[in-house]
Amino acid sequence: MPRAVATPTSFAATQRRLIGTVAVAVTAGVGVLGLVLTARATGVAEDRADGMAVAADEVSIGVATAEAATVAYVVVGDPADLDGFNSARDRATRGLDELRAAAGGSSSLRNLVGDERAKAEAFLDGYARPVITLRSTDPAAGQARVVGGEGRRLYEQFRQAAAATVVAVESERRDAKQSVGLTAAVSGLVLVLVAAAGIVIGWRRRDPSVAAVVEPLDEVHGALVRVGEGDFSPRVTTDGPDEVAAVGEALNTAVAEMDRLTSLQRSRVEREQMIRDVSRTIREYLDVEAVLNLAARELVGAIGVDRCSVLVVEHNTLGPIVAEWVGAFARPLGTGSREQLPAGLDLVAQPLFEVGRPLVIDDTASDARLEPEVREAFSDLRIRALLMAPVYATDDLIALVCLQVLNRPRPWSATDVGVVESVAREMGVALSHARLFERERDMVGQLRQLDEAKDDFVSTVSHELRTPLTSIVGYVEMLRDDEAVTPTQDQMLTVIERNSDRLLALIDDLLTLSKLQSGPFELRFDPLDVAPLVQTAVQSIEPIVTGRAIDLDVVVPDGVPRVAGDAGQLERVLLNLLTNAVKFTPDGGRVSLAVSRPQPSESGVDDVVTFAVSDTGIGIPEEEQDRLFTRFFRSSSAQAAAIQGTGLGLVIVKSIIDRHHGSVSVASAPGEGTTIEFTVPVAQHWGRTGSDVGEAGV
Amino acid sequence: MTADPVVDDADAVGYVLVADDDPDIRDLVVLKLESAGLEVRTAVDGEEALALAHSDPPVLVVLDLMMPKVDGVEVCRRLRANPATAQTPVIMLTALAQPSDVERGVAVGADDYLVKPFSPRELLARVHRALDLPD
Repeated sequence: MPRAVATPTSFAATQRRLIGTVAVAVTAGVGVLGLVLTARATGVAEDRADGMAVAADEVSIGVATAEAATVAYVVVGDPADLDGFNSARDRATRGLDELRAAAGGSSSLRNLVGDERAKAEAFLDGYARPVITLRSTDPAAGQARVVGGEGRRLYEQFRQAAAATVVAVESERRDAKQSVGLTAAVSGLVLVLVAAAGIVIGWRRRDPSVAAVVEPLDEVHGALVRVGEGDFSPRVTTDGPDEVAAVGEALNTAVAEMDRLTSLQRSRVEREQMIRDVSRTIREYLDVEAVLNLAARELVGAIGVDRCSVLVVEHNTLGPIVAEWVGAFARPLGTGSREQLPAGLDLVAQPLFEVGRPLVIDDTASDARLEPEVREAFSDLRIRALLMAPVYATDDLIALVCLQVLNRPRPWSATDVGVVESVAREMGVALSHARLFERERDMVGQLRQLDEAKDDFVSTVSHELRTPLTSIVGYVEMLRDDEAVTPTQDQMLTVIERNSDRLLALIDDLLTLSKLQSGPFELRFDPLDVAPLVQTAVQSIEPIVTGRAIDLDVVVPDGVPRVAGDAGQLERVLLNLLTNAVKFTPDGGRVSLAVSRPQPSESGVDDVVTFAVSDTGIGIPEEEQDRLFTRFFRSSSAQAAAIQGTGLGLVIVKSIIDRHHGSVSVASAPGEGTTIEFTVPVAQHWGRTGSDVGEAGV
Repeated sequence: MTADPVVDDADAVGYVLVADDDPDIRDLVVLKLESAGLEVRTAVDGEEALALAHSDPPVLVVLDLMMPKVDGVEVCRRLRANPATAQTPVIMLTALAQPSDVERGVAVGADDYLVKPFSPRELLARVHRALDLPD
């Protein structure tokens, strides 16, 4: 740094000195202002990133809770879970709105948030709501959908989208944080350059008075360099010419303000980051014990205490310790112990039970609120400072988090209390999730087992029935091949054969139904052209129409779009309905299959194609129509006409159409005929039959 | 009903191994095949079938899929692994009309399969086809 020797001043020199000083003051002032402003701007960017992280968490919690509530409602049917679903859904929606607002101009973030929203909506509105609606009308069907993997798959897709958003938001947060330091450094550098320019201006004038300016400026410069390095502590001595002193003072004020703001911001950012880390980790562990131990461990580390114990609370009475973590110099009180704790702890904790606020004791030896014997009990345990916070699961007080400092008092800060409260709140949320999750896991597990047992049972039964049938059918065939069989005996053999076929049809239908209902997601959904489906079914029915005096009309209009479905299963539906129609229609009657162009479905979600199979047969009495789709039900008219059937054909039809998210309806009058209509949603993203032949093919 | 074995023919062709744990079905198959002049030997489970096939390789195997001890799929796999029976035609009988069973059978090298209950006439036709004999 240049040093000048002081010499007597002249008027002209004074004038120049003033000009030089003003130049320095202006440039330095501008620089300091710039420093404060950029710091504030990066603070805003950081706030935005923080806001996004919070909103992203809200969305994840909302959808996770909605998922758990859906399963809980479908399985148990408790309306409370319905409310839980609705509020969780609102929470997720609010979070998504906030996320979108906060994403602002960043197109990559907007895309991620858009994708997350789409996945959340696919799960919440595309799956969860319909399942809940289905549950309210048909519990078994609702449960079957939950047991299948659809919900899991959609939720998993959402979770992946949410994770992508979190990664992006976190990287934005890091950028924002780094930019605080970076901006400070850059601004500092600018300031230094500006100040140096002032010094050079003064120096160039070779004015004897320059020293008076330069010396304080030298100091200012030194301070600025340190500020530029991120050290906000230096202060400048404010003597020297008034103008220079003013610059020094302004700089001091600015640095002090920066210092205060930075430390405030750092502590807030650190605290929020910690809470978020803890709560995210907590949410990942959906196991009660793990949640509690983790929270205890995190608190011991974060707050710096000797021991953190989590005590069960039941009916406002302290129960045993269920989780605990200790620092390096403390021994655990021991989980499961209740006796270890001071006898009067219930009384101490009483206000906490009532108002739900943390209880803070800086020094158990001198706290006037404690009874002497309680004080003594704490002293025996060497517990000098205590911070307890309640844990609520929904509205129930279920646990206390109890932070203890041994041997020395601790003046708990507002931040300590805030952190413990936040973590306790998150523990509550995690515990509610854990409870729901465990309930869900148990329920779904039971349902799965039941389903697997049923599936195994049906397969075994099928095998065990087919084996004796093989002998019956085989020997009958060999007998009939024998020329020694008389015509009467041959007739008897025909009866055995017919009944064997009937038994076999029943076994096949049962097996099909069992597979449909236990493995709904084995269905392959493809865009299917309607005409080939209809053609295959009509070809299959031909053998039983041939030889009967029945007209078979088939109408498939042009331009019917493809439907979304499993070709084999939809063919089976058509075949079952056509077989029924032919079977129940006397000679001289008519059977028709008509496909109609798409129309909006009842739910208004997707357009549907309607298939109607009509006959002029014996019909079904109206009072029996709503039982048509129950297992083994056979209409009185079918029984009266002695027409054989398994009573499972329409159950299979309904089961398949349900899996396709379509609907089945029946219209019939005895003696006039029956029409059974079903709908299948159109394949959304594929073109129409005929207009894009290149893609055709089932 | 009487089987009318044509001894010379059978000697020329060799024997058909029928493995099924159900005695009635075993007898049914034996009756049908013997009525067509084929020599038949039986096994009541997979283990016995493998032992027999190992000591005296058959010209064709009719194999039930679900058998105690060693099931039909495993028997078929081991027949294929043994050079003496690697080329022997195998017809599977399955009571579970599930594509997965058929796939499993074909994957280990079964040549044909029939779903129970099957028609003995159909079985005989398939046996003839597998042995390249006229129906």
